[in-house]
Amino acid sequence: MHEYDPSAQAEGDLYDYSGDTQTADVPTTTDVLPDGRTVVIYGDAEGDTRFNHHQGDNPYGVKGDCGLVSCQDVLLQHGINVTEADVVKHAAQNGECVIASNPEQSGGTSPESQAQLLRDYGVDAHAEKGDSIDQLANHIEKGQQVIIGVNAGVLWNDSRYYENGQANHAVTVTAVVRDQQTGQVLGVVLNDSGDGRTKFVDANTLTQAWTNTGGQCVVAN
Amino acid sequence: MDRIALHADLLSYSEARRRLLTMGIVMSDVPIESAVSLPLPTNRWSIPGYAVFAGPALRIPGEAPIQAAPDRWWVYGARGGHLLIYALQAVQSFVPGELFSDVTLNNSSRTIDEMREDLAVLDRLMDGLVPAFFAGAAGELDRRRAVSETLSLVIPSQLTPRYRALVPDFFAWLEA
Repeated sequence: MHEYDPSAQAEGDLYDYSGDTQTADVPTTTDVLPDGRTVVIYGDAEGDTRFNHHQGDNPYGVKGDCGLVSCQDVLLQHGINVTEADVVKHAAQNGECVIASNPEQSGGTSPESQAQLLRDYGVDAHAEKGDSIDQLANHIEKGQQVIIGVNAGVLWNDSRYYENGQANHAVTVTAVVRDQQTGQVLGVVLNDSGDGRTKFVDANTLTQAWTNTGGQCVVAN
Repeated sequence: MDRIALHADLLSYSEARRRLLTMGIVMSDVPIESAVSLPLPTNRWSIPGYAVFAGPALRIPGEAPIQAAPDRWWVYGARGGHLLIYALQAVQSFVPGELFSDVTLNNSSRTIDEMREDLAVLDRLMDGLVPAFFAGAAGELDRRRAVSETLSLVIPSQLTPRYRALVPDFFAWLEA
């Protein structure tokens, strides 16, 4: 897993691979890996970095709201200008998040409630179980926004947060990285509100963190 | 003509644990931020099932994770995996009168690969043992001991009281 470097090369030609049709609206860039491979990045990872922030930025004392902050990220990508406080308040008032006795532990959301919140704001969204990284990549390359459920221990490479290996943290995928030569998905770029960082996650880590934990995701059009 | 009785086969423990990942209730009602327990077998509600509890958790990189008291629990059938019961603790507690506190989990000395292997070992042991539990048989002593030891490895000691309160019948059988 690597910190994402937005200083990618200028926009290049679209890579023609056998797969679902890519929309022309999805920005693409090319970059060169340290090993010399040229990659194509589908999605505005650099631009979407500005929608990422460390969760817990609200006046309610809520800290366990990675799902809500991911929803905020998606709404901002849609041009809907909301703060974390706005979505926390909306979710609480509409019964879409947990309200615990300790505010720090409040804010939890299920995939269905995340999708419902997005629909409340006028964004067409649904929860689903993803079967593969290629399926996830297809969503991004079609211009959709995706929130995925991952295991925080695997994502942060810290066994303290592995627990029983289940999905226990929500992040927003902003781009897919493919090998230009082979078309293979090498990984994704995602906004992680858990540490406020935008990062590249390789396909192997993504498989362990997401696919193998159930492939929970929320897809927005 | 004699009728042939139909029945669903028992899910293996490893299959039951796999199904927990994306069962309907998990996608619709259980917050992704929750700490979800391991499923454990029980006959507590008359029908063979696997019981689970979940509760809020706080995970901040670099800080010890905190698991709050369970706020919900459910049981799904050991045959077919269908939901049998789902309840919020505030409505129907799985242990009336018991109040659990937040627990701060100590640093785990095990790596993720080791924890993954521990769970794989648990799956194999439970696959071999759970049919005896549901059949009301004693089960091999050595296998029960092995499961008991593995559970102590995968379940943080601070969380053991919750598991024991959820499925006291299984623990009583395991330690007989």
